[in-house]
Amino acid sequence: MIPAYYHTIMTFTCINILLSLSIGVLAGYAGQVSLGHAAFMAIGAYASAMLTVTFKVSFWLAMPAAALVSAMVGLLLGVIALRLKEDFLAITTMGLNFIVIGVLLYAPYFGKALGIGDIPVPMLFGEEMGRGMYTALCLALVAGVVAAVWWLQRSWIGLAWRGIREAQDVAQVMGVNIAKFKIFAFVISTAIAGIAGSLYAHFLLFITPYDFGFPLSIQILTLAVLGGLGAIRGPVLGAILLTILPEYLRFIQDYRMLTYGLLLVLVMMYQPQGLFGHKSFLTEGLKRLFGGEEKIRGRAA
Amino acid sequence: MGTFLENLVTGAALGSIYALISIGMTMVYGLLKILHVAHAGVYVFGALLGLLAFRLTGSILFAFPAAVLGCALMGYLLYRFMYRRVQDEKPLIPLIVGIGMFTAMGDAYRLAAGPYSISFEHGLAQTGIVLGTFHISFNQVLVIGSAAALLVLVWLMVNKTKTGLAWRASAQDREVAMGIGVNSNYMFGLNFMFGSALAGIAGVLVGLYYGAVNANMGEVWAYKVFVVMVLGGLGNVTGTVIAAYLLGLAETFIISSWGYFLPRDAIAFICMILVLILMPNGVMGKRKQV
Repeated sequence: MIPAYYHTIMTFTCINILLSLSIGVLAGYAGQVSLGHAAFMAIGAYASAMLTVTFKVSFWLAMPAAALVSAMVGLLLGVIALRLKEDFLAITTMGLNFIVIGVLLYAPYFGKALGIGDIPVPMLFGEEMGRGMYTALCLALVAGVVAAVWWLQRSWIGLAWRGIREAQDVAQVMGVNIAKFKIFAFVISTAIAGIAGSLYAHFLLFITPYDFGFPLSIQILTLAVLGGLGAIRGPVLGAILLTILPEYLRFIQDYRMLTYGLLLVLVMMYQPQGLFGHKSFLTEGLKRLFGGEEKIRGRAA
Repeated sequence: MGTFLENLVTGAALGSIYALISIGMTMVYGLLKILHVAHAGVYVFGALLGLLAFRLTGSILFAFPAAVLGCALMGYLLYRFMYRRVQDEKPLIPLIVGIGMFTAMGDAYRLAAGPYSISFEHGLAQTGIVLGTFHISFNQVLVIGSAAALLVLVWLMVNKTKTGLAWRASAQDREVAMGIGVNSNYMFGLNFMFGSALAGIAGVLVGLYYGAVNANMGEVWAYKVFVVMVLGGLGNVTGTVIAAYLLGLAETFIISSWGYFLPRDAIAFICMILVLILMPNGVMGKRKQV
């Protein structure tokens, strides 16, 4: 029997991997950076919580619905994003985070500052899911999303995304429909964030708008940036590292934002491809250690 | 009538603070096309330094030079050791670096000064001018007056000095400016120092105005400065100053007439996104001037 503590860490690791992948799809493949991904997590969490609490919908329906709602807002952002370039898109997404939190705090419908409590534990075969089962569900979803992203990346959609990231004008001339693929990246990314939000809500069983503020968006970005944008490997390993490491270095907890901030600065300045990215000092070092190119698989796209 | 005038003064004071904080960021954007988020961290640094100087000496007259010197130094260091390395990268990289630095700074201040508000009371806060029902506090006079004086200084600096000329030249075309002998990196460093010093003064003024200093007082301002910058037409100093006063007045009047239907920052960001989508050159409609 694994203690509950490890279930909690594993569940949070899974949620963070999903969030990190969600940034990875958007920023790494399509080259669009979001500084407000906590907003989409909030939308997913609230959608799922309200469906199950207010409308008594089953969790198994609420979670896809949460992904759908989040993806619809993502679609809207994608349309807006077509008019904005790089850094202005980034501050727009940041603004979106503040707006979503503002709406959740002030609109009477969402429980205001108290948030939503008594979120039901998901049912499986007529009984409440245990912690272990929930962790297993999270792991299964991570595996599913990783597989889906991997498939997308290998398909012509991934090719189009990389084209947009590397040289938008050239991609357009080659006949890639920029608008369609950009919006598609937003939809996929925000749907993943919505799933993560739903998992978060049904794990903690209690959510408030303050859980999804701008600092969380920064943390999500740090996960992906530290690991390295652009590959599945980077965001996944970054999320695992930054979720598990603080558990063993307890003294870091009090300096968490300081650490995240400095990590962002240092990684962006000295290793913009991330710790596990293409030709980073870590992957190069591992290559040298074990020798031979073929040992390092799944290199950065 | 009394309320109208009081709203006007409150709005103008708020606008003055927005203007002083935004100018540094706008100038940096004009010169380097970098969104300098860590600027809000410099502003909090100014407030904390001013408070420290005030506590040590007991006079607010020492708070201002301490903030100016400390912030100018910090601005220079931020440029020299952080932005200079990434200034030619894709614009997202300096933006994320700046956000990371701002996050780290905010947490460092919290660890140094504690998470609570620290009182920054000076003896004159209660005095003011009273005309019938109309009341202006000393703090409002101080904020509006010093902002006006500093804005004149900025105008003189940008338009009447050789340094200002070099800034404008570098903003228009860095390579040509370098070709005719402008030491761009030196000018950028100077620009960071100047803008940061203004932010430091703004920090002290905000501390005096609200009677308290807080380690996370930069949080809201950091992102609101974007709103001011975007409304003012990016990199346009005049536009930014006008936008700052407009935003200050609009916020004050909207809140006094209708109350809060959304948090202030959410309203400001909705305005910003609308302007970005509909009028990407800002409300003033001009482009690329310092």
